[in-house]
Amino acid sequence: MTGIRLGQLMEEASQHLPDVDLADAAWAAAVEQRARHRRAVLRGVAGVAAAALAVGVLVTRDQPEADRVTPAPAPATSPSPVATDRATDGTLLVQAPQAADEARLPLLATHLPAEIALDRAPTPLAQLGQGALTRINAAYLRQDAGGSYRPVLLAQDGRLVDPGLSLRDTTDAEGNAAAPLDRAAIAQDGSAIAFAQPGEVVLFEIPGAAARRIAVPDPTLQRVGWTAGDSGLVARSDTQSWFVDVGTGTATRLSGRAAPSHYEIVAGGGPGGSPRLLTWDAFGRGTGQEVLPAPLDGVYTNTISNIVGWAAAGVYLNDPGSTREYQGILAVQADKPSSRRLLVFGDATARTKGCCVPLGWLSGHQLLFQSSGSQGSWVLVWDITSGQVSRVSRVAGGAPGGANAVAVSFP
Amino acid sequence: MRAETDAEFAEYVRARQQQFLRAAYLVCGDAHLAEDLLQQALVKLALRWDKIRGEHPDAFVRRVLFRDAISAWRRTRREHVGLDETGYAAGSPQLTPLPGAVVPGADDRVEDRVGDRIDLVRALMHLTAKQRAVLVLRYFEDRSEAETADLLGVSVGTVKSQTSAALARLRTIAPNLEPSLSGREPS
Repeated sequence: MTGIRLGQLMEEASQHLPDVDLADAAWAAAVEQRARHRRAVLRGVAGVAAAALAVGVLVTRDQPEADRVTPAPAPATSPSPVATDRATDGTLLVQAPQAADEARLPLLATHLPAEIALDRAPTPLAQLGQGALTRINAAYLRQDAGGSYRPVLLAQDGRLVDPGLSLRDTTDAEGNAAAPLDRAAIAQDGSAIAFAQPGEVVLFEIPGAAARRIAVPDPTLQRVGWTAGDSGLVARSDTQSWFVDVGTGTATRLSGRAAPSHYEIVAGGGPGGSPRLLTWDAFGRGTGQEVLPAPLDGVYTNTISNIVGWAAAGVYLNDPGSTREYQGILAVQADKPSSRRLLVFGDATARTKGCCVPLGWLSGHQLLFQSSGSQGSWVLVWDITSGQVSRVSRVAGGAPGGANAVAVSFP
Repeated sequence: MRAETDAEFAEYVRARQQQFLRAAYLVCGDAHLAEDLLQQALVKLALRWDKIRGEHPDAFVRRVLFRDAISAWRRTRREHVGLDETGYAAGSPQLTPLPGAVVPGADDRVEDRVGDRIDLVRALMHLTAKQRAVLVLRYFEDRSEAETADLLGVSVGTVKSQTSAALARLRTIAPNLEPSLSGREPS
């Protein structure tokens, strides 16, 4: 009998889960959330009152108080010593801060705000007028009641802007749906953002505030990202890759697989199944590969590379050991393999699988990444020279498990 | 909202949390993510506890938990697209869990049923998130088709078709589960 037997199997398949007691933590989080909401309402009331007082003397300020980002309240702390070790293959292992400590990491001022509030209402672009946007620093998606996605753009001046786009899920050949935001969606100079959609790529150009739809004859497109130097887009599904020329608005199918970044870390294919570092040109075509000794057996993100040859990706480790340190971010400089280093994320109980996703390079040696877990979600920066991890933005208001994904541009 | 945990809330959560955690795990396939999702659902419950305590907290938690689990899996999966050895996601089922995935009973070779439940967990991960949610609500939570449809915000027809498609896919992916998948459908 399907119901009884399948139900029994499900019972047995889940009986290993440890006992949890979430009552007090859930209640405390709700109390904190309500207090935060109350403070936000009070800030809004104060903002309206201040605006009413100022209206007689200041009429040129065009940035509503409610749209601006608020700084994170936690004070910055001094950098703490970085714990390092060496893997047997020589990879430098750098211990990441505990998830519970991320809120207290030193705050680094960047082009991103101290808080990215996913549940804050953006201003419709139509209300801002022509030329209001010149570039964007970040983007994320809000899902409306009907299931459609509305991109929200974080403008250079800190405003949250709704460009008026409506997107739907991407769907693979097996019918699995996914949200249409790729970490490499924003052009490196922040002048455009692209979204994969079934059978097309939607391109939104910031300076002209214009959306274009470029047909790509593949109903199962999954990802789209900018190639090195913003030369174009590489779009791909599970089985096909395309180069999208944004100048002519045409898509050309590539003969093999392709990648938007200049370098790509892959888990196997080398001697004895060892990892490799692949090289791609500005049109998404492969130009070379080399063996990459590193203690990994899985790669769970796109690779993000920069102009001085560093490449970084989220990876699963091949020897988690007894500490349950099974994931990290690997960084390597292409012309100097001995430079490879791995930021290792421990305390697995506080982190989700695939917790930490590289977003972009803040500079030649500073990697932005998003960390998500039970303690919250943060945009952090890893200085690969010093090993130090700093706090950039708190990502507030999203659902757990990756629904708070943010894409960023380069500063 | 008082700072100390409401006693009735704590009693309810402690009575139900393990079952909900297991259901979330069966849908999302990740023990840590399941705990995150349940915690998030319970926070939402706590925020509405004064209103919901006298109504149907189970239905509220299930609605939030299953819908968030479906969304979370979609987004988590997105980070993994196209990332196998050749750079493409596997087109056909490969019953190999990602590193770090919890595989219950993986070291236990004693009983045949252990193999079945390992295959079940692996096979479930090859269904769509919505198909898993339907199966878990129908067979693990023992909800009716109408209640499953209401909880997931879909029609009864969708529940029927998703159940049928999911069972057919399980038979293909894990033929050894056939004895558990054939026979009478639940009411």
